[in-house]
Formats: sequence, C-alpha cells, structure tokens
Amino acid sequence: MNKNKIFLILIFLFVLAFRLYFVFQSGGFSSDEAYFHLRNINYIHENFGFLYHDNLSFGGNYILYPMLFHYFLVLFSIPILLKIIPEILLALFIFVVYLICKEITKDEKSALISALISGFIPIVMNETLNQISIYSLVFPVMFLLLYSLLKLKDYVFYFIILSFMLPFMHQTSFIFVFSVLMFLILSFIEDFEIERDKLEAIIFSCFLILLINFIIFKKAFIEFGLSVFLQNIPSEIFSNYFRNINVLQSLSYIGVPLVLGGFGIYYGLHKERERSILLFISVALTSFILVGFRLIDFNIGLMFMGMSFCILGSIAIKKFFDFIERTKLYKFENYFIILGVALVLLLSIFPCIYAGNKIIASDLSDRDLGTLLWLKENSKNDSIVLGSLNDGNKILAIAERKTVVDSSFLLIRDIDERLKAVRSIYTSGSSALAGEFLNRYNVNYIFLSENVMEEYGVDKLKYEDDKNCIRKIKENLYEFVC
Amino acid sequence: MIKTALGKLKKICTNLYASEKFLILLCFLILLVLNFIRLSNVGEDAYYYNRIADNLFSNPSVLFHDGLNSGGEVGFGVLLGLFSFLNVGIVSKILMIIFGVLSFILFYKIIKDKFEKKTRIIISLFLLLSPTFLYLFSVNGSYSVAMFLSLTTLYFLNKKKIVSYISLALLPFFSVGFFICSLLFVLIYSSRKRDYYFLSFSVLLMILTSFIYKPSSFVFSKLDSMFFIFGNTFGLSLFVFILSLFGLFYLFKELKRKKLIYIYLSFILFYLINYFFSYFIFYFNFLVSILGGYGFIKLFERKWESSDIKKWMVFIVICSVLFSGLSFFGWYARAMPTEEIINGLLFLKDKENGVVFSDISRGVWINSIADKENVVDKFTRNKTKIEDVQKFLYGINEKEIDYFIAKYHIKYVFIDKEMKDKLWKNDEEGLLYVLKFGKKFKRVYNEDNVEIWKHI
Repeated sequence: MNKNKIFLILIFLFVLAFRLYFVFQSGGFSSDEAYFHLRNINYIHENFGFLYHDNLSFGGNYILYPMLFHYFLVLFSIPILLKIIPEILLALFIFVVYLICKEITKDEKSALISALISGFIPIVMNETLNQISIYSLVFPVMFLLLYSLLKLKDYVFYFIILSFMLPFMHQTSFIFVFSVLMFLILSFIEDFEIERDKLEAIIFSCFLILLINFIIFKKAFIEFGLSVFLQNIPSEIFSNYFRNINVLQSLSYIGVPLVLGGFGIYYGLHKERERSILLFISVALTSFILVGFRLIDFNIGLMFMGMSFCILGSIAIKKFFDFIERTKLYKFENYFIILGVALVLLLSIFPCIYAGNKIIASDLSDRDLGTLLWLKENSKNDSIVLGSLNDGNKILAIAERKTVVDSSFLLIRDIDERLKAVRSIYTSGSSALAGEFLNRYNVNYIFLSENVMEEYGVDKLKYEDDKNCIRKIKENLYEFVC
Repeated sequence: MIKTALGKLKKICTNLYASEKFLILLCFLILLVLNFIRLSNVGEDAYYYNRIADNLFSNPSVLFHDGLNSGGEVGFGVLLGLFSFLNVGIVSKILMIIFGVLSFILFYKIIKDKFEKKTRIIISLFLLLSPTFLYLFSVNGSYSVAMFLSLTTLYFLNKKKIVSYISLALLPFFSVGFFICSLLFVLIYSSRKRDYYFLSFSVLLMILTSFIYKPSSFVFSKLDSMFFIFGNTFGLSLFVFILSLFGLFYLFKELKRKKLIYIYLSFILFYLINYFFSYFIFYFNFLVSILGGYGFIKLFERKWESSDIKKWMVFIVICSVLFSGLSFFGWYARAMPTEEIINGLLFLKDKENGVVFSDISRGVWINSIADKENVVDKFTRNKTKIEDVQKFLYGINEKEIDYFIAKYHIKYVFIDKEMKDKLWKNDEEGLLYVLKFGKKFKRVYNEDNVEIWKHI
C-alpha cells in the first residue's frame, strides 16, 4: 500500500473518530428529523412496506418521501448501528472528494489535503452529526455521480446505477439536475465544447430524475402544481428564512474551503481553463441560486456550496505547491504541508468542535424523553398531542401519538393556521382563546418541551390555573379536558 | 423449433404493431378501458347532457330553461336524446369512444403524407397516451363531438368542401370554444388560398353564433398550468412537451428558413394562446405530439456514444409517456362525483321535491342525479344569487339565514367532505355552525362523509 493510501485511511479514521466521539456522548439523536427517519426505518423493519399513509401525522397524512435511505438503513436497524452507520458514510465521503480532486488536479497531495478539509466543514458537521442525516448517503452518491460523469468512458455503468439511486433518496436530486443544466449553460458561455457522451448522459439523468421525482411526488404536484418546489413551507418559517442569517457568520460555517475554493475558481477558469471544474462551479452556483430563491433551506445550500468549494479548493492547493516547487522554498515543502494541515485543523476543527458540542447539547433531554414515554404508556392510542413543529417527529416516533403539527407538511393546506394556533396555545394568556384552538384540533395533551420553551420563550402555560379545562400531569405535560 | 416459432411470433407482433389497424384497435381499447374503468360519468357537463337527453321528448323546454338551470351548448344533449330509450350515461360513454376513434383516424390521415410510417406510429402513440386526448374523449361528450367536427372541417378543407361547410356549421351547437379555434384555422387557410366563399361563410357563421350565444358563453378561461402533472386535468404530458422541444431543435437543423419560421411561430403562438383561451390546449396537444414524436425519432436515430445509456433512455422515455397516460387513468377513476356523492344524491332523489342548497360545483349533479332544483350551478350568471350564496355559506346571522331560506325555498342542504375542505376552515364555521348548533335543520343522511340536512 502506498504512502498516500495510508494517509487517506488515516484521515478517514480521524474524521470517523471525531464524529463518533460526539455521537457517543448522546443517548438519543440530535434533531427532530432523525426521529422521522427512525420511525420510517422501524416501520419498514416491521412491515417491509413503507409508510405511505400515516394515521398519526397531522391525525392522518400522506408521507411523500423517497425511501431508499430508509431501506438501506433497515439493514442496520439496531439503534447503535443507526447512530454509527451515517457517520461512517459521511467519513467515507472523503474518499469521494479525494477521487474527484485527484481527477481534477492530477496531484495526490492536493487531493489528500482537500479530502482532509472535506471531513471538517462546520456547516456539514452542524447539519449531519448524530442526526441519521439523509445527506450521509446523498453526498457520496451525488458526488460519485458527478465523478462518474467526469470519467464517463470508464464509468458509464456506475453513472446509470447512481442516476437511478439518487432520486430514490431525496428530493435534493433536483440540485443535480439544475447543476448539470447550469454546467451546460456555463460551458456554452465559456465556449467549452461538451463531449457528446456527456451530453447524452446529462439528458438521460435529467429525464430519469424528473420522472422518478414526479412519480414519488405525483400527489403533491397534482394538488399544488409548481408551488411544490416551495415545499409548502409555512409562511412563518418562510418569512424568517433570511432574517436570522448573518452573512459573515454563515460564510464562516463553510470555513477554509470558501477561501481556497475562490482561488480555485479563479485559477481553474482563467489561468488554466480547466473544463472539469465547471461542473463543481455549477453545483455551487446552483445551490447559491436555489438558496437565493428560497427553494432550498439555507443550511442545505451552504452544505452543497461547502462541498463544492472544498473540491475546487484543491486547485488552489496544487497551485500553491507548484509555486513552492519553483522557488528555493522547495526544500521546505514538507514543512509547508505540515503548516498547511495545522492551519486547516486550526481553522476547521475548532468550529467543528463548537458545532459538535452545540449539537449534542440540543439532544432530547431526559425530562422530555420521560414525558414522551409516559404518553406512550398512559395515554389512549388515538390521543392527539400538541407540540412545536420541532417536536412533531419525536411525538410520532417515541410517544406514538397523533400530532397537530410535524415536519411532513407538504400536503397540509392549513399548515399556516395550525402553526398560528400552536403559537397562540403556548403563548396566549386567555384560556378561552387557547381552548378554542385546542378544541378545533381535538387536542388531548399539551407537551411543553424544551424546544417549546426556547422557541416561544415560555416556561409554563399562562392559563394553567384554569382547573376546569387544564390538568397539569407533569412539569412539561398538560391534559386538556374540556 | 421453439426458436423458429418465437421468431414467427415476433414477426407477427412486429407486423401487427407496425400496422395502422393495430393503432386504431389500440385507440379503441384504451378509450374503452378508460371510459369503463368506472360506470358513472365524470364532471358536471356529462350529467347536464344526460339530463337533457332524459327529458328531451317529455319536456323539450329543458333545452332552454326549465326552472332547474339556465342553458348552455346543448348539441350533445340532443344527440344523446336520440338514444334516450337506453341508459344515457352508458350511451354517452360509447359515443365518446366512437368519436375518439374517428378523430384519431382523421388525425392519422392528416399527418399521413407528412411523415414516414415509423414517425407516424410514434406520434400517434404519444397522442393516444396524452392526458389531453384522454380527457377529450372520456369526460365531456360535447368536446368529443366538437373535436371530431373540427378535425373533419380541417381534413376536408381541400378535399370535399361541402363536408367542411357542414361540420363547421354544426360546431357551435357542441362547443363555442372549439368553434372559435377551428374558425381561426379556417380563416387563415381560406385567406391564404383566397377561398372567398369559405371565408364569407365562416364570417357569417361567426356573426350568427354571436347572436345565438351570449358573450358569457365565450368563456376566456385562463389556464393555471399547461401540464397534467402540475394539476391541470386536461393538461399536456410534460415529457412529450420536452421531447417536442427536441423536435423543434432537430427541425432547426433540417428545415429551410421559411418553413422553420412558420413552425416556430405557430408553436410559440399556440403556446401563448393557451394561457388565455384554454380550449386551445386540445389543439396544441396535436402539435406537441407531432413534434414530440418527431423529436423522439430523431433523438434515437442519431448515433449514441454509449449504447447502454441509449437503451435506458428509450426505456425512460417510454415510461415517462406511459406515466402521464396512466396517471390520467388514476385521476379518472377517482374523479368527481365520487360514488359516495352519487349515493347521497340518489338518496335525495327518492325524497319529496324541494330546493337543494349546495356548492356551485354540485348544482348540475343535484339537477341530474337527485332530480331536484338547485340554488346555483355552473350556468348561474345572476350576481345577486351568487352573493346571497356566499352570505349563506359563511354567515351565522339568524335573520339573514331565515331570509335566505325563505327567498330560495330551501328544503335540503347537501354537504360532502371535499366541499367542507374547500369552503371552510373548521367544523364550526359559517353554515356548518348553523347546521351543528342551530335548530333549523335536521340531519337525514350521514354516510361516507356525505351529509344531507333537511329544513324543519
């Protein structure tokens, strides 16, 4: 085994160990979305078929979600493995970055450093750590698809297989479609000729991804038309999309790759006219545009940008080494590598440690878990439990009770009203007003989770003294009896 | 031996597939299966024509105004009335199949001289599986006849002109919208060929039609979406549309400039008109199918670098065309009125006569299925009536409600789940509150999410 391969394996182990260190500090999962995946995986494990109509979500709702990720994880449906496998997949992603960077730069050192950087992008850590993240599979598959497009002559078979897989995983497969279309446009603008085989492959993959997405989301498309692309996001969330975003802070979420990627684009496009980097510029640009039009979540967009910049950054790294080689500093090349790696670690790992600690701290608390388990044991099967939007999947997965709101709101027409009602119930001082909403949605229990306390700035229901209608069962659970 | 037998079988299948008779048979089978996937008719118009047919001889005033509703294009109702001794619901389906097959044959004959056989077959298959074509010959009988007459007019324009004259003259009785579209083509054709007789005839027909029909009949409805997948029930297949763009691209390479400008301009005009005049989409579908079929043939005739990708691409395109067609089958099977609504209305049919209040979209069904008078239906143009209905749907003021009930002599209120979801936010809003807590109505039917309340 050559030296570089050993380094690569060491990087993999380092990234994996880093992730697992945080994962094992927590007993549960660190996002509500994780419980959505957990529930679906368990459902498939028990019934083999997937959950299409969910009797609990919103009191009865269709779940339109590509299920390949869940079927894949069913193979490892022991809880501990569900924590580990996504982290292994994300750590394995460094191999994909290495392959792509090596292909673009033809330089192993630059590819190795880029692979290392890709393992420590703060925003990726923030969005994927301990969350059974769908992106643990989407990233490797999508970037392998791009890699096989680059080396189409050798990897046609893989290109076809991966093109089939991607849309069955997640709707972000549309990012791939828009990216390759952007690639065609940029190639035309930059006057790069596109090989016929690549053009054919792009047409094929676009058709395929569109078709599979239309089949999966047919119900939503027919009901909502083109506005499905806005994902029926509640206006409360939609209007706050950019309100809490600090641009500088957000850029720091991408970290080192942002700077290196910027140089990479400059050198690749203007100095060397490297055609293959156009593909990854397209991914970054597409993500940026989609975020700008609020068609994808801001953080998801940043993740795709971060990954693309990381790959583009390899060109800047190679240029740096080329520069060193031409100077008298060549003798100290190894010191520069060590210095570079140290700098990367300093600039990337500390934000990642910060993100990791924050993520683990936001884990489901013992008190909330206890309450949800109490509901499972003691409430009637058809009880409806009120929680915030970020608690919905926990109520479904742990308490196994019906929700008023949860994240599967794609087909819910009155999601805005429901969210307003939820806010009123938690924040209102009037038991009459809250009672009207509670009656409207036939709520039996009100779950005052830590999420709710933080989101709505409350520590109790203001009308909890209304003994006629409200019974306090636990510190964070009320029963509505009117 | 088995190999020889298989070879022969393959040859027979290939010959059969490539024959025009096979296409006609396929068209017949597809329309037959689609129309009889459910026995009840779909939409409002079908029931309107059924009622005209049922009452044509016993009460001819149904054609104009019979107290139950207020007019429309009645040609199909009259045609159906000739078979009123049979089950008109079934007869209307059979007529739609017949006119569908005849229209398909006419379309095939129109394109016969323009394309080679292979392309013609693909174009025909694309057309057959397009939601727009399937809608045309399964939902609205009047549209089926109108499209047939329209194609007859166009096909015989330079053959037997008398047939064109007759079919164009008959068109306004079936659909004014289709008549306008056909007129557009005919006017362009006659002015290009300097056929002043036909031109004068067309203008005269147009003037006569504008006398017979009120301007409100020329509904310039705006399309929300062009494609079936985005919620337009008679929309185009998105994938065939994409292929039609490939078709345009290849035409760009092959045709001379004059012809090319003509085709591109037509495509853009067709596309734009669709957004303002929804009937046009039925004609645009023909153009899209032709260009889509042409694009498909050209796309796969060229040499592909990877034969694997080519094979899969053919598979994907076939799946995507099938997907649109099959999705329409799914929509048709679940389309309104549902079995639950029909059962509720049949329950009303046996009850004593009286006015039934419901949403405007249920008006025709109340007339046709329950055989009762409605307050409003799709033909209602009386603004005061429509405003009154809105007040009744959302108001809870007791005096206003009493006034409304007395003014329109309401005896029943018909409510179903879809109506509830569409009109009210919760179970205690507007009319639902009055029904639930007031003492003016008594629920006499409550099955499968359909409720009927009787005024007491």
